[in-house]
Amino acid sequence: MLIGTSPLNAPGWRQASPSPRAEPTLLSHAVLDDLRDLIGTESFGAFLAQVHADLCAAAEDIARADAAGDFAGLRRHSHAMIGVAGAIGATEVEEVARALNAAARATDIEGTRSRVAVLRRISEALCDEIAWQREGQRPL
Amino acid sequence: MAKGRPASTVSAPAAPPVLLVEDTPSLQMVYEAVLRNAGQPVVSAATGGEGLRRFRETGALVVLLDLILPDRDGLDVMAEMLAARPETRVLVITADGSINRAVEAMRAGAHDFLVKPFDETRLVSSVRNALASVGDAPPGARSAELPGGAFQGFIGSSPAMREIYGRITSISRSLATVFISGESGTGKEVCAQAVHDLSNRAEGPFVPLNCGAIPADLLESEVFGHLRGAFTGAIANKIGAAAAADGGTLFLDEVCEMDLNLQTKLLRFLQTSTIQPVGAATPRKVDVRIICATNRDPAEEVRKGRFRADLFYRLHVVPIHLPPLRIRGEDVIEIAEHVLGQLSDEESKSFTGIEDEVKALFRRHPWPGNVRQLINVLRNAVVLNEGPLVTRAMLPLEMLHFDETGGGAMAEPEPAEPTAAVGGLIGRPLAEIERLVIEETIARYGGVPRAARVLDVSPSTLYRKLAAWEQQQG
Repeated sequence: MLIGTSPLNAPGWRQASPSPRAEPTLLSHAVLDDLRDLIGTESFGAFLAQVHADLCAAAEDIARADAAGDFAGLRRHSHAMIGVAGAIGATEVEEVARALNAAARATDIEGTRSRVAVLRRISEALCDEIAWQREGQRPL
Repeated sequence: MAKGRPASTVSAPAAPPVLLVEDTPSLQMVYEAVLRNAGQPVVSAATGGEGLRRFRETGALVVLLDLILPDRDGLDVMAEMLAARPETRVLVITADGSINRAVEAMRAGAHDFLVKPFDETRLVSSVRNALASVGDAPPGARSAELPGGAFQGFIGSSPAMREIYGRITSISRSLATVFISGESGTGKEVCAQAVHDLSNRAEGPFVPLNCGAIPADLLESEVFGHLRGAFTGAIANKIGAAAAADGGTLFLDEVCEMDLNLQTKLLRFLQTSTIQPVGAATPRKVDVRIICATNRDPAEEVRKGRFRADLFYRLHVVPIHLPPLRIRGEDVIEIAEHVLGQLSDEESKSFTGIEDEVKALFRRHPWPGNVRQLINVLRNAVVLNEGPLVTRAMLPLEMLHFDETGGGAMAEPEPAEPTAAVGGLIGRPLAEIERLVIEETIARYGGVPRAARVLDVSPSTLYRKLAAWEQQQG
C-alpha cells in the first residue's frame, strides 16, 4: 500500500495534471472534483489524508472483527466504510461494504467471509489510489 | 458527496447552529463544508455522549445524527434529545440500508432519514425543511385522517389501512425515497399523491410517470428530457419529468419495468441529483423527491437480475405495502358506498345504497383488480340502471358466475376450480406465475388488447413482456 508522504495539511496545493493514470479506477474523479470545489483547494489535501486514514482504519477494523467472528463489529465498521466510500464516489467498494453490512446483519458467516475477502482486496486498492491522489497534489 | 450549484442559504445567521453528530472524521468534514457553504453555522460531535453535551450547550434545534456511534445507539441519543426538547428536529443519517431501521427512526420521532451517501442538495434541502418546520407541531402530531375512515383520497378504516395512514403521515415530512408496492388497483398513485400532499413540497409539482406505459427507447427522454436535434424526431426541446418535478415529487410508477440501461442513469441521477437531457453537454442540478411503485416483488426482480441491486437499495428506503382489497374487511363496503354516491351524482341517478345480498357478495369476492375493479363494477351498475339500490342482477355476469361456482375464471369460458388452480401455482416463482396468467388470459380472450383490458394494464406492457419472453427463449 502506498502511503503519501507529502505535507498535505499545508496550504496551496493543487492537483497534478494531466493524470498519468489511464486504467479504470475505483474512485470517481468527477466526485473528487466536486469535493475539491466544496471543501476548497487549500483544505482538500487534509481531507484526502483523512479519507485515507478513515478507510484504512475501517478496513483494519473489519479484518479484526472478521477474525473474531464479531458480527456487530462487522456491521459497525462496514457502516463506516459505506459512508466514506460512498462520499468519494467509490461505488464498487461502497456496494461490497453494503453487502457485507447486510450479511453481518443476517449473521451470515459465509456471506460475511466472502465479502470481507473481496473488500480487503478492493479497499487496499482504493487506499492506494487515494494515496496516489494525495501524492498528485503539488505545492503551488 | 456530489457538488453542483452553490448551495442556497438555509437560515439566517442568527439561527442556533445545527448540531452534527458523526463519528467518521472525513464525513464530518464534508457535511460541515456543505452546511457552512450554505450559510449554516454548525457544531460537531464524534460520539453520542459528546453530542448530548453539545446539544445541551448550544440549544440546537436541528440535529444531524448518525445512527451508529461508537458509544451509544443513535436512536437512544435521539430519544434523550426529544425528551429534553420535543421541538427538536432530528435528521437521522446512516449507511445502514435496513428498512426497519428507517421506519423505526421515523416512528420514534425522527424528522427525516438520510441514507449515506447523499448529495449536497439533499442535505441542504433536508436541513432547510427542518429549520422551516421548527415551531410547527411536534413530529407525529399531525394527522390528515378524516372522520369516516377517509384519508387523502383513501377510503377505509380497517386496521391495515390505519397503519398505512400512520406511515404516510410520519414519512411525508421526510425527503426519504418511498417505495410503494401492492397489487394492481390498490391505490399506489393515491398513496404517492398523499405523501406529496402532506409533505413540505406540497406547493411544488407532483409529476407521475408510468415507466411501463412508455416504450423503452423513449423513456430516457421522458425522464430526463432532450434537446432539439438530439435524435431523429426531436424537433423541439423537451423538459423531462425529473426537471418538471424540480422542487416537488417525481412518482415513478411500475419502476421495475425500466430497462437496465436506464436504471443505471436513474441511479446516477439519485446519486448526484443532476440530470443531463439527451443531447445536452452539461448536467443540471434538480431538487426532487422520488416516490416509486411497482406491482411486482422488487426483491425478486433483483434476484432475477432484472433490477439493479444498488438502485433497489437507493430506492427502497421507506417501503409501503398496500394491502389487497380482499383482506381489508369492511373497507370494501365503505368504499362501495362512497363511490356509489359519487357515481350516482355524476350520472344523475338516484342510487341510495347496496342490497345486503350484494354486500355479502362483495365481502367474499377476491377482487383481483382491487379497488379499481370495484369502481368498474359499480360504474357499470350505475350507468346501466336507475337505482335506488344496487342489486345482484346489476352485477357483471362473470362476477355472479365466479360467486356461484365458488370461484374460478373471472370472466368466461370454462368453469374452473380456483383453489385447485391456485394450488398449482403455489411454489412457482412469481415471474413464472405472471407469465402463465398473461398467456392464459391472452388465449382465453383472443388477443392482447382484450387481455390487457381484463388485466388492467396497457397493451404495450403485454407486448413488451411477450417480446422479452421470446428473446429469452432465443
